[in-house]
Amino acid sequence: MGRIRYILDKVFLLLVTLGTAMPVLATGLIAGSSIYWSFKALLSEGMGLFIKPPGMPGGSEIGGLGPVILNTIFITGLAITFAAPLGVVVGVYLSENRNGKLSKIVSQAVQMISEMPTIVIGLFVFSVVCLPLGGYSMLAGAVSLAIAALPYIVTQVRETLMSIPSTYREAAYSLGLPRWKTVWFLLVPMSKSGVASAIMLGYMKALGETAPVLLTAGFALYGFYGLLGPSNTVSLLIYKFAQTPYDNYRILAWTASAILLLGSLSLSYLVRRVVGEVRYA
Amino acid sequence: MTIVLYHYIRVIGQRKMNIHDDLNLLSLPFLVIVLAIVVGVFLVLLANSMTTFTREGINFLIGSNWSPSSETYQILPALTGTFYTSVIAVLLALPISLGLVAFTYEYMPITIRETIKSSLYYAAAIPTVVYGIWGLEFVVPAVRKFIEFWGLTASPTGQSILAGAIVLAFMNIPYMSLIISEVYGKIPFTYIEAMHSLGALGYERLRIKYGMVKGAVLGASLLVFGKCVGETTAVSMVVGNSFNLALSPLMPGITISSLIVNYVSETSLYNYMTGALFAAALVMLVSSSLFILLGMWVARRLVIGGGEWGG
Repeated sequence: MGRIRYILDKVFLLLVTLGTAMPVLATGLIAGSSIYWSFKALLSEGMGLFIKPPGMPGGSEIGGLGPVILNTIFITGLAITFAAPLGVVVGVYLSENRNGKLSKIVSQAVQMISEMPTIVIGLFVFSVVCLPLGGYSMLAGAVSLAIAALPYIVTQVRETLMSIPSTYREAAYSLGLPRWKTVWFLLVPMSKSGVASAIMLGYMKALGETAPVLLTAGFALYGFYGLLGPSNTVSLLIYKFAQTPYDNYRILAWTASAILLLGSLSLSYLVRRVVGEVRYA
Repeated sequence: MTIVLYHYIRVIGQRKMNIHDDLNLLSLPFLVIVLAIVVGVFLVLLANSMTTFTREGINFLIGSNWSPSSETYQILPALTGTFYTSVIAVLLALPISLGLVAFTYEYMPITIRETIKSSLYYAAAIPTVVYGIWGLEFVVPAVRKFIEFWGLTASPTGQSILAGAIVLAFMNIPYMSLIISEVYGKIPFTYIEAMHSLGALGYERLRIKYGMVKGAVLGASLLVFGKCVGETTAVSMVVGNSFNLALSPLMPGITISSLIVNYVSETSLYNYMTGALFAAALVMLVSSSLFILLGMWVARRLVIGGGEWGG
């Protein structure tokens, strides 16, 4: 009896080790191929990889990701300029009016946005922004990325502000500070690293999301066409180029995925570091 | 006179003292934007999909004839494809996540446990499109080799329901394991001590602890299912995007989200296709939210409310 139990335990250990190994292997393959192909591209193109446009489809030249990176910086930057003020104000409001009726409704709304399949956001922006403006544009892409990033910012800001003990608020009120001053000149500066991490989290989402820009941003490969012109993001490039049969485009897709991984992981590292530091009382 | 003055002072005083309103007034426009987004999404989806619902009726959901040339749009294959991939994905992700949690908590020392947990956190931050390219370059060829090895009549490229499900599963394993381990780690130490003092081995401890966390496991499964239903990019890269009612998981299929992605560029060519895509999106939104809400309700009820040790 005892022997069987120990054998069963060893079998179980083997099974769970395999279960752990599978996702580890998958992420290892993702990281490994991204690094391998991006190094290969870097060796053949040098710094041109970050400046030149992609080469001809199926050609021998790999080309670069210059215009795509530029477009990504602008479109995600624009998205976060829309989402950050909105998200911070709403997050602050939700933290300071925990039991209000309006606050419950708004918090439900934020929840709903975060649950929405991101393609639905894309479709919404497609019909609200793209159709009236008559085409794909950076503005539309930025709006849909902002909507996708918004709930993460709101939730993180709310959690950060909620973790401040109410004694700080009481002290401020007892000094006669109005509520908005208490919040904006005391609580928000106190938790500025938390707010910063919320914005970084939102930026990370804006960087990684593909479905919202798929229907809104267009696919500009060779240049920068301004606010109302077509744009592009690194994640969109991965989506489109990975599905082409051309080797040089696939290499570029893996390079883009290396860039995206580097961005996402370093942002999530920062978020984790910063959130870990925030402690009150 | 004094009464009027008294009231005046009270009103002024109240206005000054009513410190609650400043903040609310300042935040109001921002709150309105958030509400407008949600209301707008539903209104846009509803308004655009009305024609399709009236034209197709219930056939929209139960018919499988999608032919833009005759302006007939029925999405049953996409609907079944979505649920097919999501169910297989959850069935794959669940045992692996449980195994991962058991491995971390029952066999690993606490330092390695923390390392595994933080790497899960980073793995959950990997954008979905990266899982998509991984699926296209590794999972799809593997499925193709499998099909060729057994000589099955199935997807010739390897792009199939199964490939979509595998990608979805691996994408969600970090997330699922994090939710389960969050609750698993909260099991009171006295219970664990008691198990050890009885000489319970790893798999026996998992069996006992599973009974305590099964609410969280169910909740996590429903949440992941809801996420899978709404997932777009990674799935549409590997699922094959062929509009047929796939019975075997090795056949190519289509999901609602990949249907939208594939046809949205052609909407200007047809009169009623836009409406059909919006209606499909509405169906997807409703079903995905339903499962996520159910998952959160179950998780909250069974874990925080009903759990013996509280939150």
